[in-house]
Amino acid sequence: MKGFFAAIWKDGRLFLRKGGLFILLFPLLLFPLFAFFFQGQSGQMQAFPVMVIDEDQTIMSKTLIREMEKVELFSTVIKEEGEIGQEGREKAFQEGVVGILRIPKDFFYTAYRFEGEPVDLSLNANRPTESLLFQSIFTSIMEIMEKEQEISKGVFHALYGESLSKQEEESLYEHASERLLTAVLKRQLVFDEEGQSSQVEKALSLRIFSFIFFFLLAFCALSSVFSVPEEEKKGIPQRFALLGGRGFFLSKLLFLFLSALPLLLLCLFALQKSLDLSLEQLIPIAFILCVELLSFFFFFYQLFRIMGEESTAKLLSFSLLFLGILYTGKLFGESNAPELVKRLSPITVNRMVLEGVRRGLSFSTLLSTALPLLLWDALALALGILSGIYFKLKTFFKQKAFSRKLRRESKRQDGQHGQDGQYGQDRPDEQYGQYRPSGQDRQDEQYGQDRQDGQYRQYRPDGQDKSYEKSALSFPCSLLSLRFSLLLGGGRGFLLLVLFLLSLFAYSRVGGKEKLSLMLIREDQGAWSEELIQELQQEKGLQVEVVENREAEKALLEGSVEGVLWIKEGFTGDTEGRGSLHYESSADSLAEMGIREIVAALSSTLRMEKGALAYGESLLGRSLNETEKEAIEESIVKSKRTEPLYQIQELKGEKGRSLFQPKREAVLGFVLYFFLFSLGTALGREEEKRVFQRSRTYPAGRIRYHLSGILLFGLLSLGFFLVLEGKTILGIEKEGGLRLAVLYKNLLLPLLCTLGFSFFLYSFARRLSYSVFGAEMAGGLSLSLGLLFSFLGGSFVDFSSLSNIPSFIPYLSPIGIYQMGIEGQPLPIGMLVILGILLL
Amino acid sequence: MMKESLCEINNLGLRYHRGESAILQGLSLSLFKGEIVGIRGENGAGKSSLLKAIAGLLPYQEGEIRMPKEVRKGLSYLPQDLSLYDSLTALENLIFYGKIQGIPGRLLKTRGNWLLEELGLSQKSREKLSALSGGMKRRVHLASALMLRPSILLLDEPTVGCDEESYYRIRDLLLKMKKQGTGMLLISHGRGELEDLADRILTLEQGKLREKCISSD
Repeated sequence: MKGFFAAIWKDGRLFLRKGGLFILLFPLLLFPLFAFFFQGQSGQMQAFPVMVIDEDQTIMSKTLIREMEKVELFSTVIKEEGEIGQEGREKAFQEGVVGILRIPKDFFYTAYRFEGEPVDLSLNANRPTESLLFQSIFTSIMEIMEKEQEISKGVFHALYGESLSKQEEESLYEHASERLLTAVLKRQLVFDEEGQSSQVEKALSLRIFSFIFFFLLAFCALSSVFSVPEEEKKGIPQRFALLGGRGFFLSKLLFLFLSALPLLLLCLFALQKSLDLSLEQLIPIAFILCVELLSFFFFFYQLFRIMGEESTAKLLSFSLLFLGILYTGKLFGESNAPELVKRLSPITVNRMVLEGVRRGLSFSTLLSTALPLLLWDALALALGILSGIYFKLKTFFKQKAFSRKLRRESKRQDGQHGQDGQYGQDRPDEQYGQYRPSGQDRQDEQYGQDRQDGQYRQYRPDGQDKSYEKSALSFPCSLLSLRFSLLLGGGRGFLLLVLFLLSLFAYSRVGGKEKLSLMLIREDQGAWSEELIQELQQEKGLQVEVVENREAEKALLEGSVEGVLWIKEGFTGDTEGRGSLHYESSADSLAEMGIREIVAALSSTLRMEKGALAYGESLLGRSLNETEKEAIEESIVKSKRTEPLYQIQELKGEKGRSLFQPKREAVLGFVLYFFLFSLGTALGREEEKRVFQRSRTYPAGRIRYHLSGILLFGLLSLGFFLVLEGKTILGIEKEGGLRLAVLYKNLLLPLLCTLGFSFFLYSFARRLSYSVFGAEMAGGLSLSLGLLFSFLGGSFVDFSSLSNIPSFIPYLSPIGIYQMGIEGQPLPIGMLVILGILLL
Repeated sequence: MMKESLCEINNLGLRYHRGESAILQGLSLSLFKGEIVGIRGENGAGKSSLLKAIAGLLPYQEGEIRMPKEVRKGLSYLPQDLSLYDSLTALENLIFYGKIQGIPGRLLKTRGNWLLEELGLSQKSREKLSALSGGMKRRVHLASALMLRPSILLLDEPTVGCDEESYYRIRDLLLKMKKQGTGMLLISHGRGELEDLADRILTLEQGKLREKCISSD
């Protein structure tokens, strides 16, 4: 095709000039980093130590401790034989213990008399996830014990009377201990063996891969359309067509695939190794990713056409992508984006497809999972229609205005032209009356002399002007609005900024997940399953929903629930409790064990309740009559404990170290970097360069130029800071009061660090785009560099959890240094400020 | 009458990089109040470099450039490439440069509007620069250099690409400035432009100046 190869060549050159190379290189850089950082690390939740103070020293207490030692989540069970006191507890928490369980003397003996002290559980409030898990395991066993007490006492009293003889008491405790041990030891057998456990390590890989695919495809597509506004404005496609060229648009598409596919294949190869997938399993992934690439291309192409200006379109696109990463990428933790937004996000789709492949879903199911990607095509179509209408209207009104102008001009020309034809002599519209080729100046005005209103007094022919130079510092505010308009693109840019800030504000209002979400599928329609569901719905730590299979599978793919519980047919009436429940955990669930314990305990207590009559029959060695049955049921109710069997307190201790632990301040650091760096790169545009050069010729011109930019960046950074951190600061102020130390640590220091960071970004971004890469190439770096620096700075990963990482790594990243400043180490920020001054 | 000297250049020598041949060598020049000195020469002769050196944008290795402090404060340089913002309006561009030069807020619009009116652009003050013709942009460009009345005006091809009307408007304004005492160094390739405006025309050849006197007031 004529001109087609010329168009491809052109697209290639533009792609490289506008920073496409950096976008291609970024994933290449990221993979080795991830491999290096995560080698040998499971990425799983770290096991944690717990302590047991066993004052009871009976078989029961020792059995309980042995059970705890079998739990993989407990790295160590520290055993103490005597009370350690409050100080001892605090010390233990400071040393990393998550929970301390104290079993008082004779607990298992006196509990049945409703006497004695309750068990005392102390938890480390600074490790909420681990504490919750430990609490779940502990309380599930306690609930089994409570129910067992109720049943045993109820049955015995019903059969042998309110006052039991010593022999009867001994028999009660012996039977109760046996039953309790059996219930506790066999509680997990209620789950069948086919359930899928969480695989946190693989989930982490999937999360990272889904993000990298999104990043790579979106940015490749974006880079291929940077030149569209310029081409449209200059009429290049039309000229191309006029010269007989074909395939102007197609060349962009082809070049996109040529540039993206090698990297995509590399990523797929890494994925295959990481998840141990077969080649057949990779084919649907590759297909869906190609569809995703196309969808992005069409969307961004139309977006850039309709925006008409590269810089504003870039800013909008980067902002959309950034918000997508923030809300749905799970890199910065969970967010409260609406479910629809999460569901439609390409990152979520990628994650679901990868999870679906891992679970072995069919191609057609995977395709249906990937349907939300077509939304981008739909948006592209809508934008295309809108832009078509817009341009048609624009042309129509332009033509109308032009025709009106022509009509006006022709009316004027009728009999108005000067007879002697001198240049401009007889123009009644006053525009050219004063320009005589003879060079005669106007007589009526001198250079500013005759103005009566005193406006131009400074232009005195005697040359005595007042000097109006002000010091460089007195003016910066007055240039702010102009610089704002120039860098952000006027009204549209302002609107974009406001929307961006609102989105961040919505994000900042997220609290942690308080309840674990669980879905239930009820295959058994009997009374027992109904009761189990009711019990589960009353559990404080759970948010339970009964759903159909399809919905549950989708939720597992999305990772929007902790897990799904199937109550299998035959649950009702299953007194043995073997394999009548099926549980599948979401891949990245950290609370699987906790949920299993809660469900197992409730299931166990339910079976005990239902088995009470059978227990009575086994004691008597015969069937019970109706009176006896009623008596047992009444007695069980009377035997319910009024005093708690256990009590829980929370104490502050050492904070947990989890490998993959996004920091809240990381969002602020990343946002500042991304937004301000993008703005700063615009300072390297040719236009800005020329203006800056000229400003340097004026006294204090250079300082004024820089100060206005620095002030603008400072104000923007404060805006982001207040939006993202304002709520946290207010909360701390309320707690800590207005003490100077609190004010300094929680407000002044973060503010100063933020201002210092913004100054550095102004200087750094400007230098990179002005002298090193040029504005276009540097602009392509903003998001990718931001992610790289976030990673190096420890925003996503707590490096202190990794022993193989040198401690200086975060210092290589401005975002890491900024985070250090916010957390109370301001010295490195001082280094950034000095570096910023040097770069200016 | 002895004219007041605004700027004295003595034996100026300039090269871009060490080891390279000199762009300017042994160049001496005086500029007086109310004088327009025209400079012409081949492409690459060093005309723009001379203006940049006087403006302080290029360091020079030999000689000296002397001008009183007050004169230096009032120096205004107009480069050949348009150094304006396409996305700002004509008036906004003037306001920008006014602020860079330290003019207080209340005077900015007044001066800007006056200059635009002088240059026949009062109807275009609110239009974005990108919407103006080449000649109009040149006029706005000149106006941006005149927000603070300059003592010395360095003009690098101020009328390049201008239509006739724009040329005459610029010319007339420059002549007015001259009458007010502004000294100007003017580079131009335009046929007759230097003859039209300049009191003296210097030709830059191989880094040195030759003078041709045109007129005296």
